[in-house]
Amino acid sequence: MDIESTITLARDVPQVEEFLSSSGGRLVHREEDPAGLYWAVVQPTAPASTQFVARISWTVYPHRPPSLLFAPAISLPTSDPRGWPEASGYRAPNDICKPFTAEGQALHTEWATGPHAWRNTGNPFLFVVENLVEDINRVGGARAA
Amino acid sequence: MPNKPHDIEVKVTFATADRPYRREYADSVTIGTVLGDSLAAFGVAADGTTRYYLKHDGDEVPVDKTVGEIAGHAHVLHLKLRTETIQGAS
Repeated sequence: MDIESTITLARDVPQVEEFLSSSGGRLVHREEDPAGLYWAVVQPTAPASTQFVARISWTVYPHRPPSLLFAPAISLPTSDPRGWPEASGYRAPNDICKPFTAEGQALHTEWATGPHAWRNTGNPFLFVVENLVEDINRVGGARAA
Repeated sequence: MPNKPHDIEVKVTFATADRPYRREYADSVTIGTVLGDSLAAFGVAADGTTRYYLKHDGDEVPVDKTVGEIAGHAHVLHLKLRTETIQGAS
């Protein structure tokens, strides 16, 4: 990961940590994780719902969207649909077809311009996490399997 | 005797914006107006494929509510702009 990405991520991470912790979640980056890889633990607001773990991998920050997948727990593979939410556009266990993911932008090349274009201003990490938390809460924390 | 109208300082934050949108609004102005103004300020062109909405204290604010109804007795109102992709996500 280049120096700009490292510095800008370090600038933006605290706001993401604060946002997740305000709803009972947390952001994790372990010693053994490569630079740019984070695990967002999301606690849905629905009663009795259980936490989701989003694997967020940045390559060039803030200029490109991250790979965004789900796992049953930190460090586990993303291939288990039980770790995925049943939200619109979340195609467990393959990808999330949304403008704020690398997978979605790769699939929809027309999103490169217009309202779905990636925005690299402000705090894009916070934007991504806000969107996935909203999507999860919109379906009441339901799981794909 | 009707209540005296007063202005409320509204701040709208958006994660991908470098700075918040700030403006004073009369308490009778609708949230829909604030939403439209903030989208314009953030350079967001709504095209029907994304739903934009404002949140206050964790809840989505209906566009037909007024600034005064949401702010209550407060003179400052902090709203958060959020998005939902409604087309294209397949």
